[in-house]
Parts: sequence; C-alpha cells; structure tokens
Amino acid sequence: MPFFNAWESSDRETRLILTLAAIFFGMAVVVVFILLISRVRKNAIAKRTEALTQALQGILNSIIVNASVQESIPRSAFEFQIQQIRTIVGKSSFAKQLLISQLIRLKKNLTGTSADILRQLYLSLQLQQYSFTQLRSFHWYARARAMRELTEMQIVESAPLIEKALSSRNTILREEAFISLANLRSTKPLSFLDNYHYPVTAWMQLNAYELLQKLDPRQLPDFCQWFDHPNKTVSLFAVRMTAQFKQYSSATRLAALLKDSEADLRYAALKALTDLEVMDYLSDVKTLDKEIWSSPEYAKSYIQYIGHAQHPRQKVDALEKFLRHDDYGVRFAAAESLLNDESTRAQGEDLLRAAGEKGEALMRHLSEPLLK
Amino acid sequence: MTETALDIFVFTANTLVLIFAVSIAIAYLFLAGLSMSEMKKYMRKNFFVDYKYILSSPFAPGISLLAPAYNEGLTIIDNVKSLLSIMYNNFEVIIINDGSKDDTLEKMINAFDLVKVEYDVQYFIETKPVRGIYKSRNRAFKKLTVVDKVNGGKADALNVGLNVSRRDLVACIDVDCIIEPDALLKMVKPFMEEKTEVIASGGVVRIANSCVVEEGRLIEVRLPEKLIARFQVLEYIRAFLLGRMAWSKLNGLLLISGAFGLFKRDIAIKAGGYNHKTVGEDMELVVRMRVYMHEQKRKYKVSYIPDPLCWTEAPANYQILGRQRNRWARGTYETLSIHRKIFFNPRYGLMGMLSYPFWFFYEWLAPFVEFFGLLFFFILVLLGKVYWSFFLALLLAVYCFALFISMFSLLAEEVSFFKYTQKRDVMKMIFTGMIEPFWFHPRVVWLSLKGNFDLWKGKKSWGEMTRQGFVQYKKSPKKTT
Amino acid sequence: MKILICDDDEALVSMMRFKFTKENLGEVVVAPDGREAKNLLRSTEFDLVITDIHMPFHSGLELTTFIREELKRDTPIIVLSAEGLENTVLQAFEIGANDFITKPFSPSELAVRVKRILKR
Repeated sequence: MPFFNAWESSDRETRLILTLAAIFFGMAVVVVFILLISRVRKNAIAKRTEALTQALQGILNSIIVNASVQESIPRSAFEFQIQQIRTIVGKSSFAKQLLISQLIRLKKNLTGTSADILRQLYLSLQLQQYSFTQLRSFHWYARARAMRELTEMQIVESAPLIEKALSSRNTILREEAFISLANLRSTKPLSFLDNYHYPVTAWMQLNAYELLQKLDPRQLPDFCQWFDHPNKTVSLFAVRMTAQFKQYSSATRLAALLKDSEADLRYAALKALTDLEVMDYLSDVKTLDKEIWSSPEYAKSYIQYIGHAQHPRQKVDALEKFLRHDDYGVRFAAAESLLNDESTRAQGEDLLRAAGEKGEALMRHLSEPLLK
Repeated sequence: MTETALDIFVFTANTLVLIFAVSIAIAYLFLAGLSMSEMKKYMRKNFFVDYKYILSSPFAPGISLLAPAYNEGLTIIDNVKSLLSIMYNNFEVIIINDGSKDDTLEKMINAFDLVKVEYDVQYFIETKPVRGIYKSRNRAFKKLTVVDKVNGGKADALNVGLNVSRRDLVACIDVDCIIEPDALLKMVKPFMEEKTEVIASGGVVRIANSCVVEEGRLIEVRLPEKLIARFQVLEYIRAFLLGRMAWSKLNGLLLISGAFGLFKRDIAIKAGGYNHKTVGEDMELVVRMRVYMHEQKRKYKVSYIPDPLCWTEAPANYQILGRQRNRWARGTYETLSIHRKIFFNPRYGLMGMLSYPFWFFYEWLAPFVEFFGLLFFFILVLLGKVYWSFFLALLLAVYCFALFISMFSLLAEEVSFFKYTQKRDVMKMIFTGMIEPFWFHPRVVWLSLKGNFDLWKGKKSWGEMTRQGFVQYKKSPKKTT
Repeated sequence: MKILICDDDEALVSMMRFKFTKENLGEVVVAPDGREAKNLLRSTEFDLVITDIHMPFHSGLELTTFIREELKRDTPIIVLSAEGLENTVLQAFEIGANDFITKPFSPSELAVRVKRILKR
C-alpha cells in the first residue's frame, strides 16, 4: 500500500492539496456523468419527438384538409379523429406540449378555415387547460411559453392572468406579458398600457407591431391617447405606431408634441409627421430650426419632411443651407431631396455645382441609376 | 547568509505563484458558474422567440456586412454567394478587395456582372485610396457592393468598409468564414432588447475543420479528425462558452472575435475605426469604442450571445498555429499597451478595475508565470530543494482543476447547442480534455512567449513590423473537404 | 404531373403533400432544403416547383435563379414566404417566379392556384 504510506507520512499541506485534487477530480467525474446522461436523454427525447410528431401529423393533415374541402365537417369523423389524438397523447405532458407546439407552428403558416380548425382542435382537446396550468407554473419560462400559446390561440379569458405578469420582477416575463397582451384580441386593445411603468424596448415594439398589423385596422385603438403617458417609452411607442398605422386623425396631436419638453418625443413626432406626409404643420416644424441643425438624425428627418413640401421655392429656401452642413449624411439627404424632385432638380444641381468638386461628386453619385 | 536570502526568495516566489494560482482558479470557477447560469437563461428566454419577425419588420435596423478580401480568388465567388443568402432583409454586403494580386476582383466582376459606379466615397476615417466601387446590373445581386482599394491591410480595408457603409450597424467578418444563415437575426436582437445602448455584439466562433462545406455553406458538422484541431475545438468552447458569456453579463467584454462581430457604425467611426498599427485590431477596436463611451460619459453595453454563428478553419499544423498564436500574443500586448491608462483606473468602471487587469494578469502574464515557474522548479531540482510529495500533489490538483474546467465547458456545450451529437464524439472530446494539459497546453504557452519575444525584438524595427503583420493577415490556405 | 415542394417546415410540407394528393394534382416530391432541391432538379424534370424563400443551404430565390439561368427551364415556380415585403416580391418576380404567396396562406387557395398553373 504505497499510497497510504505516502498519505500517512505526508504533512498537512500536502494532504490539503491532495484533498483539493480529489474534490476537483470528483467534480470532473460528476460533470462527465451528467454530460453522458444528458446525451442519452436527449437522444431518447429526439426519438420520441420524431415518432409522436409523425403519428400526430398524419391525423392533423387529414383534419385540416377535410375541413377545407367540405363546408361542414361530419361531426362523427371529427370526433373520431380527436379520439385518436387523445389516445396517442394520453396523459403525458410531454406529448401535450409537443402537440401544442405542432398546432401553433401550423397555425402560424395557415389562414382561413385551416387556422380556425386548428384553434378548434386546441379547444376540443382541452389543451387550453394545460396551458392555464403552465401559466401558474413555478418556472418563469414555462409561464412565458404558456402566455405565447394562449395568445397564439386567442384565448381571451387568459388576459387577466397574463396581466398579473406585467408587474413581475422578472424582466423577461414582463416583456413577454406585454407582447402577449398586445396581441390578444379584446374590446379595448392595448388598454393595459395605461398602467405600464416599465421601459418598452425596440424588441417589444417589433413583436407587438408584427401582431398588431394582423388585426383589422378598425379594431386598432387611437394611439394618441398614450401621447402624454407618464412613461416616456410608452409615448414613444404610441407615436411610432401612429405613423405605422397611418392614423392621420392624430396629426394635430403629433404637431403639439413638437413643443414637448422631451427631445426624444419631439424627434419622434417629427419623424411620424414625415412618415404621414402631412404638410399642414410646416410652420410648427420650422420653429425647431435651431435644434434641428445640431443633430444630424433630426436634420435628416426635417429634410425629409420639407421634401414633401409643395412649393419648389419654399423647399429650396429651406434646404439650401443643409447642403453646407458639417455632417455628410445631412448634406447627402438634402441633395437627394432636391435632385429627386423634378421641380427642384435644376436649382439643386446649380447649388451643388457652385459647391465645387465635392458638390459635383455628390451629384454624380445621386444620378447613378445603380445606386438608387 | 546567502542560504537565508535564497530561502526568502524561494518563499516569496512560492507565495506569489500560489496567490496567482489560487486567484486564477477562483476567477475561472466564478466565470464558469456565471456563464452557465447566463446560458441557461438565454436558452430558455429564446426558446419560443420567432426570429422571423425581424425579417419583415420595419423596426429592424439596417446592417452592412463588411468582408475584406485579399487574394481569395479561389473561393471568393462561393463566399460572396453564401453571404448574399444570409437571412435578413435590410442589409447589404460590402466586399472590400484589398489590392489583391490575384484575380479576386476580375472573378467577381464576371460572376456578378459588376460595373463601376460613381460612388461619392467619404474618408471619415483616413485610409488608403479607393480605386473604384462596383455594383451589379443583375437585380438578383442588388445587395452586393464591391470596393476596390489600394492594399493596406485588414484594418485599413475594414475602415474603408466603415466609410462606404450607410447603415446603422456593420457586421465585420472574415470572408473565408462560414456564417450561419440566421446569424444576423440572432446578433441584432441584443441591440433591440437592451435598455442601454448596445455598441457591439459578438457570437461564438466554432471550428470548421473536417466539416462538410459546399459552395461556401456548412452542410454537416463533424468533429475534426486531427488531434490538433480537436484541442482547438475544446479551447474555443472554453473561451466562448465559459469566459465571454460571463464577461458580457458583467458588461466587461473586451474582445469580439475578428471573425464575426456586429458594431454600431457611428460609434466605431467616432472612436477612430480600426487601428492598422496593431495585429490585434479586433480587440483594440472594442477597447477603444468602450473608452470612447466612457469619455463621453454615455451608458453602453457590449453584448454577446452564445449561439454558434460563425465557423472558421483552424490551423491544422503546429507551424501555422505558431504564427496565429504569435499574432494573438502580440495583438494582446499591443492592445493592452495602447490602452494602459485604463489599468486599475476607476474612471473606466468595471473595464478598468476588472476586465483589463484580468486580461493583463491571466491572459497576457499567465504564460510568463507558467514558464518562469517551470524554470524556477528546475533550479530547485538542481539545488535539491524540491519537496517531491508536495510538488506531485500540487501537480495533480492543477491537472484535476484543468480537467474539471474542460469537462464543465463540454457540459456547457451540451446544455446549449450540442453541435457534436454522436456519443462517440462526446467520448472523443472527453479524451481530448484529458490529454490537453500536457500535450497541447505547453505548446500554446511556448508559442505565446515566442510572440512576446518577437514583439520585443521587432520593436527596434517597427516599420517592418507592420508589413509582417500584413503578410499574416491572409490565413492558412483552405483545405476544406 | 410532378410537383416539387421545397420547405424546411416538415409539418407544413406534410400537410401540403396530403392536400395535393387528395386533390389528385399529381406526384409530390419533397425537398427539405435548398441543396436537396438542387440535386432533385438536376436529375428530374418537374411540372411545378413550390419553394419557400428561407431554407437551409440555398434560398428559394437562389433556387429560382438556378432553374432559370443554369438549367434554362421554364418550369412554373411558386414562391412562398413569411415576409411579403414589396422589395422581396418584386425581386422574386423579376428573377422569374410565376407566383408569390405570403405565409400564412390558405391551403385551398394554394391548391386552386396550383390547378390553374398546371392546366396551362
């Protein structure tokens, strides 16, 4: 037993170090063990997923296709197929989750009767109960997923429960709740915004917009009701949506925002007015002249707004000085605006020529057809 | 008298090395734990995300893909086609031909029906002159812009790209890398979801040796056949999954790999663009952008995502590996030296107090400590002062620790993207991790020491240095199966 | 009649195949990615190609260019896509697509369009 002899004869430090080595080694072995188990488990799950998907897909195909061929589905056939699915899924929550994902994936790609039938299936199989259980799960990610499912299937009754997550301490959950609620069809869409205190990120806006645009435009709320929301990010979101959904009726309110104390909001309002192409507020916009000069982003938006102006004279007068701006992007935008408009092109070209070689280069660039 | 002096010296050296070793171990354990928890969170958060929403959204920021090319005639057409097929809507591909001596430009002109256009090039960042800008007459290649410029090196070429781009974000890539089709969708998400301004984001780079590649696209992922490449697979997994994930959580990330990174164009330009005087231009730019933000007193974040987005060919022999590591060592030193003012400088926040010192001690200095530690050990052996049982125990502990970290990184890979799905491959990687500490690691230490030595030697002739740096900008010849 | 469907969404492909078979539109061949599609196109003549835009390895637009420019065939092509941005639609038609359908779509509507194209 040489090892034990060594251990017996060794001093305290050596023993400490050896113990450490043993701990690390043990940890390494445990990690390898977990790794291999996880590998085996994942392979088994993959196999099971494959088999289940195949089995379910066949039935789903026939339900969807039959439903879209005939006006009304023979009740008995539908019941039979539902029973078939029930048998396959059984009580397994794994299978339920898989089926829900499958239904959602298909529903995302389909419209009309096919999409309706998928929702009907979800309800008939009482999968919403499963989602509701998940919504109360201890794990935040299970709750987040349940929210997505309920939204995708338009289970409006889930709204009050999801709304609770809006004040969750978990950022991801809060944001998911926001996205979900923005998409649940309700009598007062987006009403939850009234009491929303957390930042609305670009990612949330993107998701919300993606789903809002699927709504009937008549169902959309007037976004201007949130223009003076205490949460600036909500106001910004509302301004952007006003422009995206072309709510011309809010133009006056947008013009009022040009005098807001927050620079971000003034800028967003200008951009929105530009996108809406309403020229009635030219004088209001011009009051921002000084401020605009110092911010290139702001200036580009302003140039675009002026670009829609009717009177060539007015336009040239307003844009001329921007051709001498320090920022190249601003000069470019001004030149572009002048040259792309038949009525101002000649004057624009004269101005650029007068600016020397730099102006000429800009002019050549703008008249290059392949760069349009 | 000399006896005691020697004893004191030995004791001091021992203690210092011990402090170094213990602190590095604690740091690595901490980073590994933090990375793992962050990764799990990331996986769960993005499990149900529909990235395709970004595709059609008017809110998705515009991206220019900048790819410098130097003597890439053999593969350029496939590479460009593969870049053009990346999933993103509001984007363009800018290929910068850095004065290639072969037919890179001609090949592109013929394949994509390019014609010279009157592009009004700006020199926001000073660069070598642009000879011409080309666009395609074929609408199918509308997103392609080719810039032909006088040779000036990779950094200079990327700066030209920054000057030519007109979009908010720029993705800087190596043209011979294989980019996953959904890479931009995933990389752009942090820019939209963070509350603070994101100035740059990076992703995981993986090794493409032995993978099946066709027309510039990754068809099948395979574990490299050569041991040297497998060591690097392990190295990359460790660095990208265990290290950077944690640094990004702490917001102290200093390096976004030059193979693939996404940057805010205006900040990159305001910070001065890539520095062509260093061979570590990728790291140097991130540090400089961070310094710029600190000096402007603007809040910012450098983000990082654990998705494998970019696949690159790793050096397949020790000679080429030597050149690469030499370059890395010099790049690290140069970057640290250029920005030495942030060392323990509270003005630069966490970057000054933690990231920079970490890089300095554990990345740059570690090879020296290891080398001189070994030297010191041999001296002790000669002097007969080695306490063998203690030494062997220590060696065993260090080995077990290294083994644990490697296995933990393999686990991190398993819980995230498990690219090598076969159980056989997992076993192979475990074996690689077991032999790495005494097979591969010593060589890497030696190579980075050589890099530092070359740097010290090269300082006397700085002019030649830059040229030498450029020669190495072209990577190993491609032998992809 | 031979129809090639290229899409990486298995569920959707399986559904389309079921629908087409049920309506007796012809033999349906499925390619789960752009690479497989190219291989099939090289070896077989199809009467119709239905392709998604975003697929692994080669996009639907690349596939369209491949059929028109490299194979020089005038096989009818229907492009499917989740993003119906004006630019993408225009580009698809310019490089030779015969029809463009935005996802989500109705399977019945797709079947009608397919029938109309095959009758020509």
